[in-house]
Amino acid sequence: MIFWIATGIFIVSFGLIITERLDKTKVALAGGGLMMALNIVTQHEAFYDRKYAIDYNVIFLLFGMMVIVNILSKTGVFQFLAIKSAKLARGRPVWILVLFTGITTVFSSFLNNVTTVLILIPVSLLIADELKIDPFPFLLSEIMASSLGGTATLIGGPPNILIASKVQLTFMDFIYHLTPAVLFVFSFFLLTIKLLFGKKFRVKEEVRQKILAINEYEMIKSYSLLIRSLGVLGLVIPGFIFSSRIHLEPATIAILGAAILLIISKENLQNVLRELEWSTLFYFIGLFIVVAGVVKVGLISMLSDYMISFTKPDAENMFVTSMIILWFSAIASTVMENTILIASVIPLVTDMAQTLLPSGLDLKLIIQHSTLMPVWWSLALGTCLGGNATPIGASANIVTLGLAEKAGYPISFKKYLIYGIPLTIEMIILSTVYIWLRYYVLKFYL
Amino acid sequence: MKVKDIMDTTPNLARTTDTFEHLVRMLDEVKYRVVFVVDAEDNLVGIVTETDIVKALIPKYLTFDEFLISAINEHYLENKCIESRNLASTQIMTKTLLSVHEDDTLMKAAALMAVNKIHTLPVVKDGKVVGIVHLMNLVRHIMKILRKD
Repeated sequence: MIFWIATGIFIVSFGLIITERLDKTKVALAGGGLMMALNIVTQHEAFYDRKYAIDYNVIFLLFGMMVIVNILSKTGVFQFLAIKSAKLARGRPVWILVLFTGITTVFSSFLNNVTTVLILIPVSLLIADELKIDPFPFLLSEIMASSLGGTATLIGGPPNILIASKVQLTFMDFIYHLTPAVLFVFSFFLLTIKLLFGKKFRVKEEVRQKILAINEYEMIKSYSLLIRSLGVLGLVIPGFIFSSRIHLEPATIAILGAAILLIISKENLQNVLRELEWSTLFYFIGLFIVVAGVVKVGLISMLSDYMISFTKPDAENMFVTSMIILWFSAIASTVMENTILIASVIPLVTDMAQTLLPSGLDLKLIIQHSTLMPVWWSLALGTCLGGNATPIGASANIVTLGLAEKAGYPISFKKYLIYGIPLTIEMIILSTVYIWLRYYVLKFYL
Repeated sequence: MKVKDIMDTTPNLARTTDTFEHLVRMLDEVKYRVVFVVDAEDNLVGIVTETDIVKALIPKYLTFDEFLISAINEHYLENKCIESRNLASTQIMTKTLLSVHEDDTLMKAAALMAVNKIHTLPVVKDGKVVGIVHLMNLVRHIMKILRKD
């Protein structure tokens, strides 16, 4: 009975979240609350248990990075870099497009994807307005580049933070395995974007001069805040890189960095706190409890058994499993919120690994087993990049299209799909090639 | 006291088909620096003030990111004015959210202005504009009360 109640809560929550009938945070908190109220997961388990508890590493890493990025974004440094790159391109639209796609990828590798597009989209609209060109190529490539960047590092976005925490991976694991994948996909993506849109832009020399006339230094609102923020970032990023050597979890580093920046920046605490995405943090809290409920009642083990009998994975070679996870997560992400997908798939793969790999191994050794690692990287690539295909596949897409419409450049669902689907398929094929070549042909695990 | 006791019965009206240029000229001449926009059936649909005129010239992306204000080129305003010359009033106006009926109390009009931080209210009867009540009218009325006392 308890199995069916937990499964029911999970399915209803899942359905409401992916259909967006109700705000996802409300649904996750209600689902989590019900799991506890019905004693499927006790409050003690939800708060303190090693196996079922809310993953505070994820919550505090997100919180710490939100604070750091919030303060850093008040300096105007991101706008400065965007304008600087437009000037470096000498106002030539195609090169601005290439550089903006590049800086979106870089920004997004340490900012969340929505924050990245909130910075880049207005600058792109300004550039397009000044040059009197269609902003669509910019908006499309920035949406896609934001998800690419978000895939590159541990702190790029919630999917990677979730994987890192559950699989106990370090910042450098992501740099060694996913950053090359992103660079590989990015280079082909850039080429495609240039081929698709390169010839569309025709801008006269005197119009280009308008871009060169912008004084990018006026974007910087406070040099002292910028120095302090970059100083803290200069401690936090190496902190992430060397986290395993200094034996500190990423959340500890982010919290410490946020606290130091709050103190030395002298920013008003209430103002900073007011601007944080609390709904995201509470969404994760609820989501963790909902998923813990179905793990505890055995639904995930059951699904994992089905998956084993369906894919027949081999403990020595999980190529088929990697491919199924990559393509399944990519297709599912086109229409659904990717974090609920990832939060459900992680325990499923973990359970499958426990069944397949030699018993008696420590959980960490099982989930970090070399044959399983390509599966995790496939999951990250699939969930992060799949969302590019449709206008509703990821929050960054929804935000960008909303801004474009408000600014007077509406992009229809159909127009987005015409470009979004083929470009996403290209990215997933390239990810397939990367996974296959690196882990199953070259066997380069590192 | 009712709104109709103090309202100005000569509100300035524009049509939904009137252009940006026409509205700018009207605003330059009218008493309260506000124009009400009415549709073909004379129903009130919007309000245009000097702020709406300026807003129509400002690119929306600047409201998403104030950092970019200093990046706009120096000739932008002049070029945008020329480009916007034939914009329809429906693209400029603020859709009317607030109005008072001529039989509403002065207190209601005063409270609506104070709470919503506005200085003008259209006075309507059966959906049609019959007058305008401005903060100035209210202050004059307050002066009268004080004199009597």
